[in-house]
Amino acid sequence: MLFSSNIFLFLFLPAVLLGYYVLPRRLRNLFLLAASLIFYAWGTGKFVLVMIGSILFNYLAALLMERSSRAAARKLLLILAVTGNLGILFVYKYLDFCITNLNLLGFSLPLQNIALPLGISFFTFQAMSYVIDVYRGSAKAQTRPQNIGLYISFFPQLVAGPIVRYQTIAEQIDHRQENFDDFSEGVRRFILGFAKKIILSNNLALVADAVFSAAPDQRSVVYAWMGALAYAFQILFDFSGYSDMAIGLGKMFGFHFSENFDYPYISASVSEFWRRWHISLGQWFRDYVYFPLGGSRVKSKARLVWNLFVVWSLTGIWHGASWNFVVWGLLYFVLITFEKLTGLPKRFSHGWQRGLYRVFTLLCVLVGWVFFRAQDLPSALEFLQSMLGLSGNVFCDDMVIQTFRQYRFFYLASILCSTPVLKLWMEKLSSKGGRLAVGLEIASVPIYFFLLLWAVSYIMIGSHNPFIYFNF
Amino acid sequence: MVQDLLKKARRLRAPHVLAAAFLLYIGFVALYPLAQLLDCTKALVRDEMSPADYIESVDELYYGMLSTEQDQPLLQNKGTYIDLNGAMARLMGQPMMNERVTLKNGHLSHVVSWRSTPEEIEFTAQNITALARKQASQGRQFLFVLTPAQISKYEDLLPAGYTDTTNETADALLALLAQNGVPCLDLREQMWAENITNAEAFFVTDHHWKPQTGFWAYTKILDTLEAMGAIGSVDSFYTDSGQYEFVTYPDTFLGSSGKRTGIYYAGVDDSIFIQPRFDTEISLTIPEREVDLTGRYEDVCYNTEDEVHLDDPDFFQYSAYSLYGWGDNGLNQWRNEQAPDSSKVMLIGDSFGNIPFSLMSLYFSSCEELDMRYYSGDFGAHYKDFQPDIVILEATLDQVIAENTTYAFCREDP
Repeated sequence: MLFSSNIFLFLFLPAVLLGYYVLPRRLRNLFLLAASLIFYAWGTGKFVLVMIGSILFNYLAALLMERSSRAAARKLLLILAVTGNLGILFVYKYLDFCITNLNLLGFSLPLQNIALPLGISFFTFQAMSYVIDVYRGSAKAQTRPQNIGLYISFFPQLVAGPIVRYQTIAEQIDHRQENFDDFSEGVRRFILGFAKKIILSNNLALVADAVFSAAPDQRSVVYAWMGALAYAFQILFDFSGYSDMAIGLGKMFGFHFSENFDYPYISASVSEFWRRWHISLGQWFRDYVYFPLGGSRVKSKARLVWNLFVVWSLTGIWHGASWNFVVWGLLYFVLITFEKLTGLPKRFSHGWQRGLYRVFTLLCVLVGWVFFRAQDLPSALEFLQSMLGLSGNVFCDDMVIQTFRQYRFFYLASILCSTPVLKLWMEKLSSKGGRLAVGLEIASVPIYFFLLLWAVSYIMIGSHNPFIYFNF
Repeated sequence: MVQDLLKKARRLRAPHVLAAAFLLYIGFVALYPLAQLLDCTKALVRDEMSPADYIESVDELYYGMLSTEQDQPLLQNKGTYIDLNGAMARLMGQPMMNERVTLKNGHLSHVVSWRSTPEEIEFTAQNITALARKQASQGRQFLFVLTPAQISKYEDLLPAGYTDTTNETADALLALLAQNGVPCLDLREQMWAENITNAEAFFVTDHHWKPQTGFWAYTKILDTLEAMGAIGSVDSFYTDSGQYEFVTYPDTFLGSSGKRTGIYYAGVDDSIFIQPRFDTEISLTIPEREVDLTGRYEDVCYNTEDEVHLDDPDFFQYSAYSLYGWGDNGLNQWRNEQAPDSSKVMLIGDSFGNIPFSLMSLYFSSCEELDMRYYSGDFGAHYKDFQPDIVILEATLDQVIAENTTYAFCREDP
C-alpha cells in the first residue's frame, strides 16, 4: 500500500486513527502492529511471513542475548542474529545478482528469480539495529513480542524509512504520550510530504522517465541536463516526502522520529551532502559499521581510506543489487576520501572558492544520480555522453521548449523548496509577531488544505504515481 | 462549562484547525464507498471471496471511488478534483494535461506519437481491399471514407516538441488503397480544398467533429456516391443546409478531452442539434437497447432519454455527442419510406459516423449502421439478409490501425 493512494488516505488511515484512539492504551501497540502487518500484506501478500519471521527471530535472539551472562555466548548470538538478518537480505536481494556475476566468470548457475519483499532493506537494518543495541547494552531487550514487532514493522517508516535506530525509540514504544499539538503538527507534516511526493516528485518523474528513455542521439544536451535535474528533484521530493509523511504519521500516533533530510542540495561539500541526505542511513552506517571499524580516529591514512571504502561500498549496494549502485557508492567514496585527505573545502580562504566548490558538489551529486537512475552502467555512461554533447546529439531542440513550458512551475517550485529560503522567510516574518504572524498562521490553514486537495486531485485523475523504492 | 470551552477555543491554533479539517475531510470522503466496502467485507467473512479477491475488489473500489454524477457532494465528486487540477494546469500555462495537448487553435487533442509499422498499414489496407473487392465482384458499390483528425494535415497546430503520426499513416494507407483501386473519400483533402479549418470543424473539448461538419461530410459522401455512379443525381433539397435548423444549446457540452481536463482548463462547448425543416417520418430500431421508434427525424434520431440534461448539463456524466443516433451501438437500423433514393445502404463506422449516418436515413429508404467495436452478431449472415446495394466504410485512423482486429470482418465471406 502506498501513502500516495486513495486506499491509504481514505480507508486505511481513518480506520487506523479511529481504532487507535478508541482502544485503551494497553492495546494500542498490538493494534498498530496488526495494522502495520495488514499495511504490509496489502499487495505484498505472503512476504508478510518473511517479516513476521524476522520479528520472531530478532525477538528471540535479543532475549537470549540479554539473558546470557557469558560474553562469548552473547557474541555468538549477535553473530548469529546479524548473519541471519544479512542472510535474509542476501537471499532476497543479492542472490541473483551474485549468480549473474558468477555466470559471467564462467559458471552456469540457474537464476532463482526471487521477488524482492517491499522495504526489506529498511526493516532488516532496523532489526539489526535492535539486536546490536541490545548486545551493546544501550537498550534493553523487549519482553513483549508485539513491541519489537511494532518497532520493525511500524507502517509509517516501513516502506521508505527513516531507518529508526532502536535506542532512539525504545522508550517511546512503551511510554509515549499522544497529544493534540503533536497530532496537529503530524497532520501538517504529512500534508507537506504528501504534496512534495505527488505534486513535485511525480510530475518531475514524467520528465526524468522521458529523458532517460530517449535514444542517446535524440537527447539534446540541454534536454539531458533537464532530465538529470528532474531526477534529482524527483528523488529528493519522493524520498523526503515519504520521510515527512512518516514523521507526520508517527506524530499522529505519538512517536517522534528523527529528521531524515535537511536541504541536501544547499551543501557546501560532498561530506555535508551526506550529513543532510538520508540522515538515518548515514547514521546507521556510522554507528554500526564506520565507528566499529575505527572511524576516522585511526593511526594510518590507509586504514581511514579502507574504512571509508567499506562504508561507501555498502551504502551503494544497499540501494540495489546492480553495478550502477556500486559505482554510485564508490563515486562518493572517492569524493569523500578526497575531502577527508585534502581538508577541502574547509581550507579555502576565499568565498568564490567555496562557491565554486558548492557548484562542484552539486555537479557530483547530479552525476551520481545519473548512475542511480540509469537502467544499467552502459546506459549511465551514454547519458553522461549526452550531457556532454558527445553522443552525436544537438545542443537544444523542441523537446526542451515543450518540457520547459509543461514543467517550468515544478522546476521553479522544486528549486525553492529544496532550499530553506521559504522556511527562513516565514520564520523571519513570524518572529516579528503582531498581526502579520497571526495572519501567516491563519493563512497556513487554507494553504495546506489546498495543497492536500491539489495533491489528491492528481490521484483522482489517475496520474503517474511511480514507486522508486522497489530496489531498496 | 461554556467558559471552559471558550478557554479551550482560545488555545486553538492554526495547526489544530488544519488537523480538524484534515480529519473531517478524510472521514467524509471515506464514507462514500463504505456501503460497498461493507458488502465486500461481508463476502470475505462469509468465505464467498478469497483474501486476494478481496484486496483486488477493495483496490478497484477505491481506485474509482468517486462519483462523476453532479448531485454528489462537492468533495466526493470526481469532477471537482478534475476541475481543480485543470484550473491549476491552466494557471501554470501547461500545454498538456492528462494526456491531452492544447493545440495552437486552442482545441484539445490526444497525440499519436508512435509510428504504425508498414506491416500494420499493409494489413489494414488488405482488409479494406478485401471488402471492396467482394462488393465489386457482386456488382455492388463500395466507398471508404477517411475522417479528418483534430490534428490537421495542412495546418500547423502542434505546439513545439509534440509529434503526431496520424496523417502520415493516413497518407500511407490511402496510397495503398489507391494502388488497389479502392474508391476512397479523403475528407481531410476536401476540408482543405474548401478552406474549412480544424477550429471550425471540431469541438474544442471533444475529439469529434461538430454536427455542422458531420452534415458537411454527409453531403460530400452523397456527392462522391453520385460521382461514382452509385446513385443518381443528388437531390439538392436534402443537402441544402437551409432546409435544416441547427439548434444550439450554449455551453452545455464537455467532450471526451474536456472530461479529462475539467471545465477550467478546456472551457465548454455548445451542443448543436440538426432538425430538418421539412416533414420527415423515420423508423429507428436498435436491437441491443430495445429501441424501436417511428416519428420525425429529431424525435427518433436523438436519445431523448438523456436530452433532458441539456437544461442542467452534468458535464462529467453525459455527453451531448452521444445523443446522436443514440450513441455508439452495434447496430442501428434506419427505415424511411419518404426517402428520395431506394438504395439499401450498409454503413460501417465508428462514432464519427453517428451524425452523417443518421442523416443518410433522410436520403436512403433503408440503412443498416454497424459499429464493429460493439456489434456482436454474425456480420456475414447479416450482410446476406440485408443484401446492400452500397457499402460505406467510415474510419477514424487510429481505430483502423491500432485496433485493426476490429476490421478483420472485412475478410469474412459474406
